This record gives sequence, C-alpha cells and structure tokens, in this order.
Amino acid sequence: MRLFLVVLTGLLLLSPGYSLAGERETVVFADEQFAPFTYGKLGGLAVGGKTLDMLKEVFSRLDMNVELKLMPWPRAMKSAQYGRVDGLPLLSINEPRSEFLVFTEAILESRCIFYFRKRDTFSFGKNGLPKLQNARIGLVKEYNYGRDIEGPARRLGHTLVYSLNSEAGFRKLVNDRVDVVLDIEVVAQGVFAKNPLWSSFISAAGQPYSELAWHMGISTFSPLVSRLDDINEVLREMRGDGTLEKVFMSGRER
Amino acid sequence: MINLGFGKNISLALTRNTVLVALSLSLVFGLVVMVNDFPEKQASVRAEITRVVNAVRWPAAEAVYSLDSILVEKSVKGLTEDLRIDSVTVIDDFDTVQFSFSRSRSKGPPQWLVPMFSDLGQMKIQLYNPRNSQELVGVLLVGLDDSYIAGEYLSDFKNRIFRGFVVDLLLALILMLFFHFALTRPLLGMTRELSMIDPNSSEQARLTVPVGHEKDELGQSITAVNRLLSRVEYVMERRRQAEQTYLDMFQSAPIGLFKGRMSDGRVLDLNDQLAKMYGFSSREEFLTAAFRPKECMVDPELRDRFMELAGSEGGVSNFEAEFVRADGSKFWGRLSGRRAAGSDIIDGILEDITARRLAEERYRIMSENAPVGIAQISAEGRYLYANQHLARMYGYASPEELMREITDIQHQLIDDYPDYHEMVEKLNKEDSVSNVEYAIIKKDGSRLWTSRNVRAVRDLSGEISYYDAFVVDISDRKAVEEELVKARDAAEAASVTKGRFLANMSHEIRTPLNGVLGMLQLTRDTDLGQEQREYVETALSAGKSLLNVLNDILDYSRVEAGKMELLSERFSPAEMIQTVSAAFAEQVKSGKVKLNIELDPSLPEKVVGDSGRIRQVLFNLVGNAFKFTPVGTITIMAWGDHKDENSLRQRLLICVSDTGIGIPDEMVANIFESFTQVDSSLTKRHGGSGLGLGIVKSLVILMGGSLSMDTREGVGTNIFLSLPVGITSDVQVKKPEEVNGVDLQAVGLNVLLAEDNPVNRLAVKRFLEKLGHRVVEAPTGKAALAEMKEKRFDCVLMDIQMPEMDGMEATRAIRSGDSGVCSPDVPIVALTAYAMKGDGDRFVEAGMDFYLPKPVELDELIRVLNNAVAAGGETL
Repeated sequence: MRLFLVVLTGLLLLSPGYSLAGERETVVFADEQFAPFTYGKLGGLAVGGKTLDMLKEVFSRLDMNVELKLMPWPRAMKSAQYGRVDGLPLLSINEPRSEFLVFTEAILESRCIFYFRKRDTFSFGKNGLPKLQNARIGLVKEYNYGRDIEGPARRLGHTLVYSLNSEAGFRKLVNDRVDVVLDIEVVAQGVFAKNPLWSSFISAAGQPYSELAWHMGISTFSPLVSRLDDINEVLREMRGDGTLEKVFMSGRER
Repeated sequence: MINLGFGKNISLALTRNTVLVALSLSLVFGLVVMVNDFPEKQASVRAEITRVVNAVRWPAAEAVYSLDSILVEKSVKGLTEDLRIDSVTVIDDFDTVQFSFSRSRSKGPPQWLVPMFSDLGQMKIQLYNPRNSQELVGVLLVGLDDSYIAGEYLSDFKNRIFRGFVVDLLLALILMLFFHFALTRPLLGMTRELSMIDPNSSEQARLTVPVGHEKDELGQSITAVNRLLSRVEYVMERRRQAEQTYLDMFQSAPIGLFKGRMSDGRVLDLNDQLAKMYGFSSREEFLTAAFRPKECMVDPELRDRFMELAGSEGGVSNFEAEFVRADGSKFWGRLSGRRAAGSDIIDGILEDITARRLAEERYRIMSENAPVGIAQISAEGRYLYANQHLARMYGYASPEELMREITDIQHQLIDDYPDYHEMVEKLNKEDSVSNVEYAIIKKDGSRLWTSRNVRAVRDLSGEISYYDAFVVDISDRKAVEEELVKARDAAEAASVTKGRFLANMSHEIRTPLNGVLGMLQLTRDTDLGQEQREYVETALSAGKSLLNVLNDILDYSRVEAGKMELLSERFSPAEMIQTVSAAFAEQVKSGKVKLNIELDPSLPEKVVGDSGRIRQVLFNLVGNAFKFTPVGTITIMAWGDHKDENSLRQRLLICVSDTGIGIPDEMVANIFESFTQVDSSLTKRHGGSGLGLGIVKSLVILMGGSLSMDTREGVGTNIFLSLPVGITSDVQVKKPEEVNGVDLQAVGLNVLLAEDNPVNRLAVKRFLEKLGHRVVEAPTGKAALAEMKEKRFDCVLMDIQMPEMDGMEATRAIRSGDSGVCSPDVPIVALTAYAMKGDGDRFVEAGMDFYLPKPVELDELIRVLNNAVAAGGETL
C-alpha cells in the first residue's frame, strides 16, 4: 500500500498537467499576429501587445502564468479545437466555435464595417451589403463577422475573396483585386496604423454591417474550463477596477 | 541510271547490308543501353521527382501551416501537372486532408515493363513549420505513376532507336551514292567492256582502269582481269596451236586414225595413213567410196568380237586381225578403239603390223632352231614360252610338256642354288643378270649345269611383265673346272708338304752343319800349320757358303709362301754399306778387283727400314758383281732422294756398278727370275744356286722398291736399286733387340747346355769353355731339369728337339715353378736348327728369352750370352 502511494505520488509529480508545489501553472493561448494586439514573430510567442497584457493580468490574478503563441488564425482555431492550446484570448461567439470552446463573459465590443476605395462611389443597402452588381468582397478566413455574409453575398451574385489576414485583404483592395473589404474595425485600425498611406485611399462605410462582443474562448479539452468562473470573476474585477479599459483603451473591440 | 534491284546492284546491296548491320547494331546497342541505363533511369526519375517535390515543399508547408487549402492547392498544383505523378495528397497535422489529387494510371506501356518501375512507389514528405523547423505541420504524399514512367522510358528507347534509324537511312543514302559512283559505275563500265570482247578475235583485249582507281581494289581487279585475259589469250593461242598440231599429227601419223559410227560401221573421219592402209590414195577417196572397214576383217568371228569389246566400257586395245584391202590383198593390223560414253561414235587406231608379224614368225623359227635354250618366264616363275632346245636340254619331249609340268621354276627346277633370291633381287633391280650359273634337275632327275642371261621386261607402269632367259648347257665346262679345282687343291697340299719338307731339311742340314762349322772354328783356333789352316779356312768358307745356300732356300720359301715380314728399325745406310763392303775384304785383298764406295751428301744419316733385308739385297748384288768381275772395279754409290719435305717417306738410291763381263741382252729380262743364271757355262764357272737375284727381286718388291739394270756385254753392269725408307724423326722406331752391353764380357758363368747331339754339344761346350764359362751338359730336357734341381745356373742353352723331353716342354716346366728347379727365372736361350719363320714366336710362348740359330757362330754366342746375363732374360 505504501509502495502504491509512493508510485502514485511520483506519477503525479511527473505529469505535465501538474506543477511542483510552489510553481505557478502555465496556460497557453493562441492568436494571430496583428498589432497592436499582438507583437512577435509568427510561429513564436507573443512578446507584447494588448492581448498579452490582458492575459497576463487575468492569469496573474489567478496565480498562473500564461503564454501566447502567434500563428495564423485558422491554425489558432484548430489548435484550440484539438486541445493543443488552452484557448483563444479574444473572439466572438458563433455556433461552430461553441462546439469546442466555452466562452467567458464579454471582454470587448467591436463592429464589422465594409471598407472601400475612396474613388469608388456606391451606397449600401438595408441588408448592409454594397449596392453593386457582382462585387468582389474581401474576407478573412475563419473570421466571425457577427452575421452571415456568405449566404446573402452569394445570393446577390457577389464573389467572396478570402485572405489569410486583414492586411492581405486590404492589400487586395488597394490593388483592385477586390471591390470592398469586410473587416473588424479594431483589426482594420491596426492595419492602417501599420500602413498609414492606405488610409488616404480607403474609406469606411457609415454603418456597421454587424456588431459583436469578444470573449475569451477556453478549449473544451483544457483544464481551464473548470476555472471559467474564476476567470469571469477576475474579468469582472478588472473591469471594475478599470484595468481592462486601461489595457484595451476604450471603444476598441475586435 | 541506278538500278534499284537489290540483287542486281552491288551498291544497293552493300548499302542494304550496311544499313541492316547498322540497324541491328543500333537495336542491340539500344537494348544494351536500355538495360544498362535502367538503374540510372530509375534513380534519375526519383531524383527529378524529388527535385520537383522539394520545389513545392516549403510553399506547401507554409500553406498547411496556415491551414489554407487554397494556398495548399496552389502550392502543389505543379505536381499535379507532372504526368509521372498520379496522386498528390496534403494532410495537415490535424489529420485533415488539405488537398487531394489523383488520376488514373497510364495504360500505354507493355505490362511486363511496368513492374520494373514499381520500386519507385509513393513519396512521403514531412512538412515543417517554415518558421520552426521542429514543428511538423503536415505531410505531402506523392504517388508515382510507374506505368507512365515505364511508358516514358519505352518511348525514350523508341525515340533513340528511331533517331538511329533515321541516321542509318541518311547514312545508307550517302553510302549508296558513294558505292554507286565508286563501285557500281566502274564495274558496269568494266562489264560493258568485257561483254564487248570477242573471244575469237586475235586482237588484244584489255579493260580500261577508271581514272582514280589505279591503285585501289577495283584497279587491282581490272589489272587481274587483264592478266587473266592475257592468260586466256595465251591459252586460246596454245589451244589453236594444239588443235593445229593435233590435226597435223592426225594427218601425218604413221598409223591409221579414225572416227567411226558403231551402228553402221561407217567411217566419219580418218587420216591419209588409214586410207592408204586400205588401198586408197587419200582420205577423201576413202570417204567417198563408202568403204566399211569392219567388213574387211577376214575372220567374221574376230570382227564380232572386236565390235563387242569396242562397245564395252574399257574399249579394246591391241586387237590383232587380218584385213582385206579394197583391191583384195590382205594385211595384218592391230586395232584399238573406244566408244565415247553414251555415244555411238568410236575413236580408233589401226596399225599395219604385217611386217612385225613376219618378223615374229622369223624370230619364232630362229628361236625354235636356236642352239641355246630360250624362254619367257612369268614374274611368278612359270614358263610362258620355251623353245625346243630348252625342252630337250631339260629332258622333255616338247616345249609344251616342259611348260605344262614346270609351273614353279624355283622349286621344281633349280637344284640347291642358295643365291637364287639374291639373283632375282639383282635382276629386278638392274633388269638383267649375266652368266648366272646353277644346276637344274632334269626330267630324269639328273643334274645339269646351266649358265643363263636373264632380262626383265616391264610394262608401261614399270611392273615386270616377264623375263627373257637364254640358257646354255655348261656341264662340260663345269666338269673341267672341277678337275682344275682338284688339281689346285693337290698343288696347295703339295706346297704345304714342300714347306714342311723345307723346314725339316733346314733342321736336318743345320744340325750337322752346326757340328761341322763349330768343330772347324774350334780347330781354327788351335795351333795349326799354314797348310792346315788354309784347309780349315777353306772348309769353313765352304760351310758358310752351304749355310748361305740354305738361307737362300729358306728365304725363297718364305717369299713364295708370302710369309716374309719386314722389320722397321732405324739404321745408318752408310754403315750398312760399309759392313757389306767389309764382308768382301778377302776378295779385295786379291788385288784383281777394286771396290769403291761413293756416298753422296744427300744420303741421309739415318733411315727407317729393314736393315737386314736391305743388307741382304746389297750383299747379293755386290757378291754377284764380284762373281762376274774377274778383273776390274766395283763401285757402290748411294744417295738419298727426299724431294717432298712434307712426306714421311724418302727413297734410298743405291747403284752397284761393275766393269765385269756384262749380261747378254737376251738374258736381261730373266736375270732376276729364280733359278735363272746368265748361262749354264757360267753357272758352272761361277757357281750359285740361281736363287740370289730372284730373292733380291722379291725382297725389293716386298719393300715397295724397284730394281733396274743397265748392262752391256763385255763392258759391265749397273744395277740400280731404289727403296722407300722412312724418315727417322717422325717414325717410331722399333728398338733394337740387343742390349748395348757387348762390351760387358760375361765370364765365369755356370751354363747348362741341353743338347742331344753329341757333336754339337761338344762344339758348344768347347766354345763356352774357351770363353771361360763352366758348362754342365744334359742330353735331354729331362736331364736338364734334374741338373737344375741340383744346381743354380746363370744361363741355360736349350736345344729344341731332344728325346724324352724336348726343349719347349722343359722350358715350360722350368718356368712353371712346379718342377723344383733352383732358378725358374734363369735366362734360357733357344739353341736350335729350326730357323723357319714363326719358330721364334713359339719359343717365346714356351718361356724362352733368346734365340740362337744353328749353326752357332762364336761371336753370336758371345753376344747372346752377354745380352742374356745383362737383360736378365727380358727379351728374345
């Protein structure tokens, strides 16, 4: 019996899911590379950015360490789906994501807006879609735009052109490879901050196509699921003490 | 124009062969290369596809990392366009298929080839995060279409073969043109020229060597053809000449030649000789007369026989028959003919043998009447022909009976002729033997001696056909010869008897003569008056003369018997001449005859020869000169003749010249014959046996010399003697027997004298005693042995012929050591009247050391005793 207890204790100590007494547990999140939310090399760990600051603050309050891996957004989604990471720091909720993620309370509010070249003049309909025939609409793969865009766009005969990230989508717009780009406002602002000249060529629609909230998604395979209430509690604290606003600055959502 | 027929055009044929060879080689080499390149091809395909895959590897990894299937598709699209790849699949690290492509396998290549490339299989490439090489982000699976690759490989091989074929075709075209201009066209030209040559033309036909082909094979071929043409022209010319010669010979042949038809016996062609044989003046007359020669054969049976033989395969040869001419006269002909195979034509020869037939008849009659036996005998020894004389000679009634009964001459006829086979062998080798004599057995069993000449007669192939033999009866001559043989045998027996008689007579005369001379010598040394001394001296001289006669008789006997042998010893010719002249000192003292010696400086100091016999010759010649020179001068001249310095021989020349009575011319020829003297009156006047000069001549001939004479009756005689002698420096000279110890006077010896004759014993005893020796006498050999057992002697004088035990037996007993004598090694001197040749050898064989012939001379006795004592009995 005594021997059994010793072996069991040893196995528990060797297991990666548990840390030695006094050592903080590390959780791993994945996100795409886009300033000012994340800074760092793709494929590596984020070294700065609002998202990382937010995560560090949340999990430090939970006495945990956190790492943020930078990877293409689809891979980040897939990694969370397969449990290779503990979660995704900021994303909106939709049905497919709900199958492998559990979401915290909302952290940020954001809008999805159509962007177009300033020289082009056209209006948007009640459905929020541009009044164009056979328009080429640029989208980012695996982005959640809050409401269905593909079905209405195809019905209207528009062509959907996907890019890997927002910057790529805006480059297509500048180069006349798409007619409009639907993107998340917070992300677009980051792109314009990186490419200031594009701002003089590109205009944003007056009305958002959709509005949505960003949550922290925890992989259903992650032990963090059990800490969901703790995380929500911390988020509430951070919102209450103004830490959250301080991190993201107000009005900027994804 | 180029002839496109392959079989008719060398250039096309050469081109075709070249191309076929090239194609075959291309195919073979292609197969070899294909097999050889296969592993390399496999490796290169793998390398190429690996290179293509690697080109998309990082873009694909980037796309997979981004999980962007569109980008993945774009990145690997290049692979899908490669027909060697039949499937492409990209799976991300979440096991999601990002891209998948496949197409059906190619079906072109043979199925046996495809498995050879199945090893290439599927390629699996790990895709890593381009920014983190440790992070596996997906897998790229590339399936290879082995069927397509095999087809590509086969296609490549086909292309290679096809290219080779195209090159070969081009090469063939070039070769065809080259061969046409270089070979076919000149050959066609040569053929055209050849076809224009008229073989019957007497003009020289030569082919032209095309320009530029003077030294190549074509030029050499045309040159060879020209040589052949030249040879053909030569042969044709020879043939024309031969035909002409044949025609000439046909017409001018001394025998009849014809060509005829067997079926009707008609002559198709003939020469003039045949026409004349049948009584026609010419060939043309014969042919126009429609003459049937075969009907002219007198004997119809012979005619049918001839036709049968002529039609046979071997034809007929030498068929003899009698023919009838056109005018009815007859002639004998010998006909030969042969029908050409499968033809009715016969070629034949007819020879008029009428003359030969007549001659044969004459010969037959001559043979039948010949006084000698004549026969023809087969090679097997059987009679083919025998004449009447031979049959009678052998005791048969007729030749037919002889030939019928004698079928094996060697075994039935010849009586013990051991050299028969040798005679036959010689006959077969030399084709004839002459005067072969042997006895035959006649029909009645009696022997008949015959002599025969036999000649072998051969056929054209060289084999013996038969023998011609001519036999003579020599029975009478053989009888005479047998009588002669008997007479000769009797003479030889008489000669042996004579020799034995001479030996006995020599012994019997010497024995008493020994006593006479010994006593006379002893008497001479006693105190005698002048008159008595003259008597003794005269008696001694007469005795010595008698001894000389005896020696002459013995020498003559030896010469006649051929038993005279010559010694080879070194001597001085001058001393020898001086010795001879000294022997005639008594005659010179008389003062009536003067003896001069003239020695030429050329006379050699020493020569090699038989000095004793030369001295004997000279002694006889000088003695003869004294005999026939009552008053006058005798001169002995001598000189040498050595012209050739390289020769080991020289000639000793001696001339005995006298101023005597000379010799009549009619006697000169016989003067050197035995028993011959100048005349009987002289014989009576001068005495002599008549043997002297005969012996001289015999000795000179025996020595290889010559003797000649120049004489004139009443003036004198010159006798020239020429003798070959050896040169001393180079000839091994027989040592003289004497020991140079004559000066050593042996005295006081104990001498045993074994002698049965009391007179001789007394004479010798007295000699020895006078010399100071002590003598013990023994009348027999047995007594001598008894004495020697009692006493030691220094020397034994042993007579040969004694009673009880002769000297030979006694000597053997002494030498054997078993007789008990005191001194078996004592010197023994043979003292004997046996003075014949060979006696000395017998004495030595018996063990004797010296030899002293009777009659004994005192000086000789002293010499022998001294030698015996000095030499210790070493030599005889």
